Amino acid sequence: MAGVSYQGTILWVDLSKGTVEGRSFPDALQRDYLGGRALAARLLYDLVPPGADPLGPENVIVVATGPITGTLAPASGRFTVAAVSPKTGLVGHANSGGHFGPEMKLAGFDALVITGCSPEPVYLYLEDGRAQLLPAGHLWGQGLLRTWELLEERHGPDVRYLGIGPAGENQVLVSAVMNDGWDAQARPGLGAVWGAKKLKCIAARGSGKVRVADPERFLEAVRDACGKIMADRTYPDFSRYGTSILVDIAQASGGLSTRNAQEGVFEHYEGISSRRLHAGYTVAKKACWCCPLHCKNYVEVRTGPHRMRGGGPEYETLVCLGSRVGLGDLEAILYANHLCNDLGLDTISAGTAISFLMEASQRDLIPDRLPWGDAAVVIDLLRKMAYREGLGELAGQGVARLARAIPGSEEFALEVKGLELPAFDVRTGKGFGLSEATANRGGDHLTALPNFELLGMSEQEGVRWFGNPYCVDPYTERGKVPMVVWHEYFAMLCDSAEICKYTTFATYALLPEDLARFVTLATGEERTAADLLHLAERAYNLERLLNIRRGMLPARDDRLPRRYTHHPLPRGPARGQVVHLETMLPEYYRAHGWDVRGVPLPATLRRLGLEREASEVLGLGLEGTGPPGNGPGEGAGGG
Amino acid sequence: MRVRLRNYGYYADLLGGPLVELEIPADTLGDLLAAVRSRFGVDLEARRNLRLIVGDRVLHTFPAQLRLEDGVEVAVVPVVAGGSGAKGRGWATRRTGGRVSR
Repeated sequence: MAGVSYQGTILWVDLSKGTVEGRSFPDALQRDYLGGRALAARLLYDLVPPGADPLGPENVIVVATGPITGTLAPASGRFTVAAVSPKTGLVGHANSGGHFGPEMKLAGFDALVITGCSPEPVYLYLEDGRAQLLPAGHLWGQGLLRTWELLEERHGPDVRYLGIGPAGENQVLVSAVMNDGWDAQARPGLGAVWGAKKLKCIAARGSGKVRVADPERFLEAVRDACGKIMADRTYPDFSRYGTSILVDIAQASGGLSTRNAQEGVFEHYEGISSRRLHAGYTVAKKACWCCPLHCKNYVEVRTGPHRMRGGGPEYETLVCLGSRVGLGDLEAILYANHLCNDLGLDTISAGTAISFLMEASQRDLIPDRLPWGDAAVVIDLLRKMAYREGLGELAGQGVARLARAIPGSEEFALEVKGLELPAFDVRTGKGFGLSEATANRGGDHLTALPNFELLGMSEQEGVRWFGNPYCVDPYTERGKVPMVVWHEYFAMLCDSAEICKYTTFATYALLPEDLARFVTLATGEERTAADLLHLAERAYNLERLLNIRRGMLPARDDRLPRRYTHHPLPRGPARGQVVHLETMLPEYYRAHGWDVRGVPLPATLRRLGLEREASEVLGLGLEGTGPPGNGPGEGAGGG
Repeated sequence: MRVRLRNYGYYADLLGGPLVELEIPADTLGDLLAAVRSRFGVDLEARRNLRLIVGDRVLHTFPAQLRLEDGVEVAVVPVVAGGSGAKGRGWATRRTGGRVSR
């Protein structure tokens, strides 16, 4: 039975042929993959040939909502964009909030599957069950801020949009896909995939409805959930400062990534602190769809060379374009962030590429003079990356490629599997270290986001949740594995139901039981927390199989850079800390049901109903030996 | 004795700025908390959204008898992980069982 809260339609777009076609969203896919990231993993596995060039016509873009997207569930404005990443060559998924996801669903589509390459720039327009590919020659080359204006002029002020800037058009690998002004589907270089397909953007307007199976009880669940979020002990700070509060916490714990993570304490921390941002530049708070947390800062720099007005930086940006490049000038950071929003650059990857080059300059490994904390250098390099000019040509391809080009620099290349590591210094959070080393999409904090270990939970809570008191101590490797694995599955569940992690992980106000209640009442199909975590585990393993099929060797690729494993932090509360990854990996693989090489075991894949995939990827021949799973034909269908 | 309070986030507004020196009559955490109450009118013990870091030790509870050294720095840090009195997950002993309901 189809879930009530789904629209029941996936739109298939063939850019090579210029065709669009709505097809039914198979019940089996709804049941076994829910939506969002899990659905994307299924579709990418089924549709992208193993050897496909990520920037070629065989790669597939998936844009997917979830079963509670567009309902009144708090923070349910999330949606996923995915493709095989041109940066890592592996599964590439991203997730953002704002309003585009709900609008796409109100326009009648649960998901989009975009194949082929258009000969000319185009954009996709969605409105109330109709879809059109329209010429985008007048948008191509425009910054995103102007693009949004032009779309509003053509389609009205209530249109919502998702698209790329010049960085994506130029197939720069540190590019992002942006939506609703300044929300970013960032990290795996998906903007470059859009650019290669000559897809500038998607605009959506919908006057439809998202129905839920039991409206009365659903509203009761919404009230309960909002009450939990707003009563949480983290609510005052997150609602006031947003994620910028994490800058303060990172500095306090000695993990504020400074000068390419050579240090964990930043001498100009006050300049980029949450208090400085809030008191000096935040002019309004903004919320995503139905979110009571309203964590976004709308900021303004009124005068001077960095004059701007727009979406404010998140924690990751304050660090990666701030302390990580040695920059303590908040106005320059706000401007650099604004520039990235316009050019369509991922601030984490772009900032880390710059910090890498600055350290290479410090060590005289390159002839360029790139002083730490020089705002003009940062802003100039961002522009050059987007337009592939000068040093920006190589910088825009990311740290892994830079490290290969600059002998002697591998030691301080902050990347895993080709993806730049995010802001948090994992020497001050060993669970984060484990999760970033092993994440399917490369060096990524959001795959698990094990905030449980960071300054919030007591040892008693550690025992109650994960059976040991050590998991709440950020400076130890002990006891981290069960905590990280649970977070990986819970994160997958959030990204598939499509609810924000900051109402779930950061606060632990909403748990899998709450998501099961929403999904059940929205779709009309009874789901338990155990069901949904099992579904998440299946999707997590499917992502790993997709990666292995594309050449990932977990034992080689699940790693951290030597900066984090061999270079102790020199000062501050975390002085002397490194990550002993080798002490966690064997237990981590066992907890997932994987072998010592990090490859899923036959029993695990059988339990998850992935017999066909086991056969295809690992040659295990499990088909017909276990309970029925999601076999061929139940998946994406044609295409 | 003297104690330096390093206040993060909202606590810099509440407690007189990002870095404040306090003179306290004795050498326990209880004395420090009383001094904060007296000078700023803020009862840190009653607040749910903070942790204290004394030297390199993170305090989840605030034992009044904890001895402080002269000149010690105490960080007042907002929490990042919350939880509304969450139930135990029992993850370590109970793997996710069952299959997707049909």
